[in-house]
Amino acid sequence: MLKEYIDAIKSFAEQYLPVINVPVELWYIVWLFIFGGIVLGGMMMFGGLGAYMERRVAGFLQSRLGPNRVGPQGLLQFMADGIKLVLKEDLIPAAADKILFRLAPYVLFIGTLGVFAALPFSKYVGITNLNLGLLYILAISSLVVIGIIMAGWSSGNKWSLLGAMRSVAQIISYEIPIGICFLTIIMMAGTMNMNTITDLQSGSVINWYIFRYPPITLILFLIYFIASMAEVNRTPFDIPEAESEIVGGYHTEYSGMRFAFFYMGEYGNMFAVCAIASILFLGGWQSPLPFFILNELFGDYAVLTAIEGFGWFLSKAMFLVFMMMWLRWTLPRYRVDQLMSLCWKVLLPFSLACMLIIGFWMLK
Amino acid sequence: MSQNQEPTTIVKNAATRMSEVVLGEEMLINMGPQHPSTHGVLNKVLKTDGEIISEVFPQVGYLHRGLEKIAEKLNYHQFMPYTDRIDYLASMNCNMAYAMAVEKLASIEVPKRAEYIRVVMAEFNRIATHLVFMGTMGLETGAWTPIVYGFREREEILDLFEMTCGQRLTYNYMRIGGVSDDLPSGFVDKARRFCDMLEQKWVEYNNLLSYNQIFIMRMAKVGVLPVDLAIDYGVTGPVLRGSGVKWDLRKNEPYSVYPELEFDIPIGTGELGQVGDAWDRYMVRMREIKQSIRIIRQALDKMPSGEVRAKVGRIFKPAAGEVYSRAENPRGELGFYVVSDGSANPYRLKIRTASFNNLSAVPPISKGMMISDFVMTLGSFDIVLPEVDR
Amino acid sequence: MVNYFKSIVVGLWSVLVGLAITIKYFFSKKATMEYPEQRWTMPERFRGMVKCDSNKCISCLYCVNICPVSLITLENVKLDVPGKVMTLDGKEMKRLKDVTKFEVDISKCIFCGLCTEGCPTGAIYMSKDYELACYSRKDMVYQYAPDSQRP
Repeated sequence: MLKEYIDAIKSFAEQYLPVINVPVELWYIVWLFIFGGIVLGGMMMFGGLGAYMERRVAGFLQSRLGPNRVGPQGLLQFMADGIKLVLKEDLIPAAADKILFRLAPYVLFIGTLGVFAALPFSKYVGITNLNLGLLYILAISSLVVIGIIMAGWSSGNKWSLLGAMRSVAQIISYEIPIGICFLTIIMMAGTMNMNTITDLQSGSVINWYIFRYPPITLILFLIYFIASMAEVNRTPFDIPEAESEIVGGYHTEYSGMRFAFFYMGEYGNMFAVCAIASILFLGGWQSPLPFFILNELFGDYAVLTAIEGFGWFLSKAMFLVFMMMWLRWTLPRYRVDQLMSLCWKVLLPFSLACMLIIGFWMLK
Repeated sequence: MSQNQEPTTIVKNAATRMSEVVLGEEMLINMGPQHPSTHGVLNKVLKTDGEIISEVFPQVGYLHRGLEKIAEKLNYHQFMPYTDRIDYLASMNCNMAYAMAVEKLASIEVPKRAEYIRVVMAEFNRIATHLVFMGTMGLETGAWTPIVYGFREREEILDLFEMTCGQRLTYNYMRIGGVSDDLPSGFVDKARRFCDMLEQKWVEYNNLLSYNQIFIMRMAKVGVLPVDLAIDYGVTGPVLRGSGVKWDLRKNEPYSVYPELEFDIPIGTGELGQVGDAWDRYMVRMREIKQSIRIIRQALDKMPSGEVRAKVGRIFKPAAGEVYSRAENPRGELGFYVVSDGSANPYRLKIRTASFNNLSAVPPISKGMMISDFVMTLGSFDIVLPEVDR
Repeated sequence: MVNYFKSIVVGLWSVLVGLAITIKYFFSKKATMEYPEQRWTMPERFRGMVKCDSNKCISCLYCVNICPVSLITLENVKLDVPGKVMTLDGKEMKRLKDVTKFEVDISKCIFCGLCTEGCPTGAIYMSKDYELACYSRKDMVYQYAPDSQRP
């Protein structure tokens, strides 16, 4: 697989950059750096744009307008917010554990960013092509919990501590249904490689995993979606930062740039879980049509496939992000024990049943 | 928990069970005065074991303005704007209660039309404050949208008030002996249109929030206020009615023109949980909106023409004496005890507010709760802090 | 067991009902008024900033006395030749005193409108101005007497 990947890049390079006659390994490293930079910038951009989108969607759902003053349609609002946050005074509470307090936002941010490393954004486009992609994602996204508990503990604030405790209990529980969903997909695909999983769903919309074993995979998708919503602390599962109960949860004491990191981490995480959902169930960068539109129109160029694939991937992920926002601005939140009972009494049995049924279906 | 069981023993049992299971260290948390769910500036010191509350100490007084003392320095007319500030969400009702007290003291006959206008205004204000309650209850549960919808409709009520009296929050519309101005032209049509519109939106609020399963899970069987406890603590208004007591001063001790109007008194029945839980209190208020619409429609139909203000002197000196007069406010019973010594200023003016008494019933029922449930309980009591502190 | 599945179905249904309501407002007209560009037309009876036409004022001190927060300061001199002024109900009234100082400290004002209600000549009135923010407390004190104009 890796070989094919490199070959694809090589052919791409040979096709479009014939002047640069460099060894392909070097090209690969350069490509990694460029793409890593793009992803880091892109994720920060998404942190800002996600916040803008959230506010705008919230406004529209509430028959308000949302931010529409800075830039066209308020699109530059995140720049203004970012500048404000950077210029803010750097505050550390006297009771805080200084080192952990400073470290926590970055740990959380790394956990989020790490997920992006394994995502196939489009055909030939991705930072790495891990053979154990799904396992890696499960592992690295748990780093977020450590960031949260560090933040909650080091703030020296009882509300923060309560928020962190709630968060840890929640995320650890909800990782189980997510793990089972992953397991089912691995069973169906026979691989943990995200690129291969995406390739297996090629063809058209009927080949997507969400329609593979109807309606079991659809239920599985719903379970994954709900559980991932809990994983990224969105309403109705936003109990770790439940404003009306525990003020701001683990980020009560944070302000300025550190708060911005939490914020970007949160929105980055949201995008990441939606991207994973779209890869596992909705075919990732595959077109819902049997062909790629740009290829059909302008010829069979790899770059066009990559661009269009990225477009499909982004639109699928953003649709799921919109769904999360829509749900957030509609629903109230659960209580801690209700959240747990939802996980252990509903999601877990259902996901196990789905896995069993799919297993037997595959045997048949 | 059965209906007749002593509430304190249940609470004790729950608390001891909890302390057996979770052997932790108790900590004191200051919930407020700066906390998103304090409804103003109320400090609640919680003694908790993790998330489980063992004791609540509400600390009031952050908004104390000494209204009762101010009243002694002002004459009867001048105190009217201050009554706006007793319960800023239901200024019309406070105006009306105060005006009624002084009218009773000086035996002033209020023109019929003025009484009808007062009732229309008071009921509109009741709807407005219950809409805010609906929204804030949504906020307590984490739903951010109902408050915006509630405010959107409340704005239209405020438009009606603005065209009548010129202000949107502190109306100062009622006067001793009537109201300051007659209804402006176009008011009646606009009010009727609003009533029709609100009836549709009411269904929508219920679908969005009241009957949402998560909301019911959060509210039902939470913060149960037993009847005897409610009566012991002098709880009034929707909180008392939520516990299943049919007590409404508009019916039980009719004042103004309420006897001429038809309406029901919704009470909590425990349809989704227990009688007297947070959801019952919430739903009583929601159903009161419907009844208020009914009252407004009837009052607009029956409104006679004529004077809107009885002749009351500018320097107005009621005979020496004392009077206690009470009215059904959106939050419960608002009573004014006025003592006159024959001068232009009241000798003493005591304000009995509903929120203060209602708040006092929160600590005994919140032992052994989780913090999340405590927020729901306090929210469903719908206290307004200026009314608590005065 | 039946209840278990029923609660899941009912829960999902109530979520869908809620989603339908919010998406309806997503596409419908917004309630926002974009303030500095769009402006509210103030109703006839709007109670904004207190203003005074001191030429009409007969120094009856009604407003000074009724004001619950005592924000009006009024000083006057006796006129040699009494002027004439129309009252609100159309009668003519002698104007015996001229106002030399009419100060309204708007920072104290609670906009109750009691002062305007009893003014016999309509000299003091509540305008439709509502943008009253300024940078110092001194600016909040407005002078309405003609011969003591603010510098």
